[in-house]
Amino acid sequence: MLARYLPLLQCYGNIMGRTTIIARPLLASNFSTNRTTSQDANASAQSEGRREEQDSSSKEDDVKFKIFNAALPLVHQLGWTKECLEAGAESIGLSKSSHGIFEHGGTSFVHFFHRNCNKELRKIAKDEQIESAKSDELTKVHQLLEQRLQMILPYLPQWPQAMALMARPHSSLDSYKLLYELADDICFFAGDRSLNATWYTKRAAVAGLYITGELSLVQDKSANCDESWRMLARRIDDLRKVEEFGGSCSRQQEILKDIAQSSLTLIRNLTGMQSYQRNSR
Amino acid sequence: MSLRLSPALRHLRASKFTCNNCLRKKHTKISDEVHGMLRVDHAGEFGANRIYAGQMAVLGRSKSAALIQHMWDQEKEHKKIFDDLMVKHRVRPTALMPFWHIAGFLLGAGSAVLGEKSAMACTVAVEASIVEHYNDQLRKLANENPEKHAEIMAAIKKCRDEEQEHHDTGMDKGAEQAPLYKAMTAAIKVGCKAAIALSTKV
Repeated sequence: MLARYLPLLQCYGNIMGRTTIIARPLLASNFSTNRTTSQDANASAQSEGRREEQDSSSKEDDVKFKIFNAALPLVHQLGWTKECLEAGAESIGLSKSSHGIFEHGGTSFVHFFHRNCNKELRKIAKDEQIESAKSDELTKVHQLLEQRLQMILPYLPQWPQAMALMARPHSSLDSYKLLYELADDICFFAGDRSLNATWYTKRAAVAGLYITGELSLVQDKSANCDESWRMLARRIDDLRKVEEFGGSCSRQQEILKDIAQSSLTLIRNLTGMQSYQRNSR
Repeated sequence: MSLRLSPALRHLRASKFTCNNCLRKKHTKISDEVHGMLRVDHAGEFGANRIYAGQMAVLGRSKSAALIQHMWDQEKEHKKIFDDLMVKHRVRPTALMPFWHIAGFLLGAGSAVLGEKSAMACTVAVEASIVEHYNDQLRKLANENPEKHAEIMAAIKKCRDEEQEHHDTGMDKGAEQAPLYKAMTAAIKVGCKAAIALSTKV
């Protein structure tokens, strides 16, 4: 059977051989252009990062978004599942199997929902110019958190299923990443520009607040989920108190430093070292 | 039509540039590598600030005080430059900031306690490491895409030139006459390398 292909291979080998011999200078230049093309491709992978994101969003993400939008109203009957995505795809005229664009079914559905909500939040923060508002940082954090938590309100009865899907081990990495991005966005748009340990503590606090809010909403039985909003307001007040305490601590630190310095001077005076220093200068 | 993927495409197939979900190019604005570079530079300038603060705390009333203060002021400017770049690109700062806060001060104060020439030797060692590190970064950025990274490269160049100045000033002020000069500079350079490796990732 191989014999059938042997002439073809020989022919190919001849062509390659001949081209190698005749076109060696050409190939050499090709190779150098290959190197620069790889550099260029490398560079374009970097520089077109932003355009790539927009481009891919116009092709693949577009279809994904259409199916997602069509499937969302059906979540109440079918839950965050592959079947819901199938029904959504069918309702806009695509084939049932196009749900496969969401690789992991229900989990990808919830993941996309979170990504979309985070995008919406960024849009709201930019449109309402929250960054430049007069209120203090914690008020803005409160505002943004409430906006974000309100986005899950329409799907509250099925939200425990969504939370369970995101809590699975194989999707936990993704959920941590999403939570990190959410906390980072909220802190950034609330005006935080710190670049030290407080960067971490603020984002951890916001992430914790989001999770607490989500958990509270899921089991809230009051009208309009008022209990959860009140709980959130109380947590923000707690954070405010912690901030004030931290500020007063650093003020105490200054006083302690002064006390330490003056006691050192006192000791130097008593032991006569002060005059020694003055004489040696 | 080649039988194998061309070097360009083969490079793209590697996971550094492909998104794990869709195998297309990764959706990033500036790459994680450049994020790491900004993070470590910011940490470095913060550390340098703390080293000079430590030196001033001990040598604040000596002959070298004015010189150390001048170098410290320049480091403050450098830190401001990287602060702005970090905020602009939304880069996460290093988690080891509290550690560098203390370690930098101890290094500066420790070297100053050994004498003015030792303080200069410490400066020389640190600045030599930093200049080498900045040169590596400039090479990497220039290889990738000089136009895209123009702003970052300009910032690094400015800082590198002034750090080189500090290094030369330190040498002029007799750093090499410090006791145990070779051992001290070798140890500090190793410490700086370790710090750079850590802060790029953590």
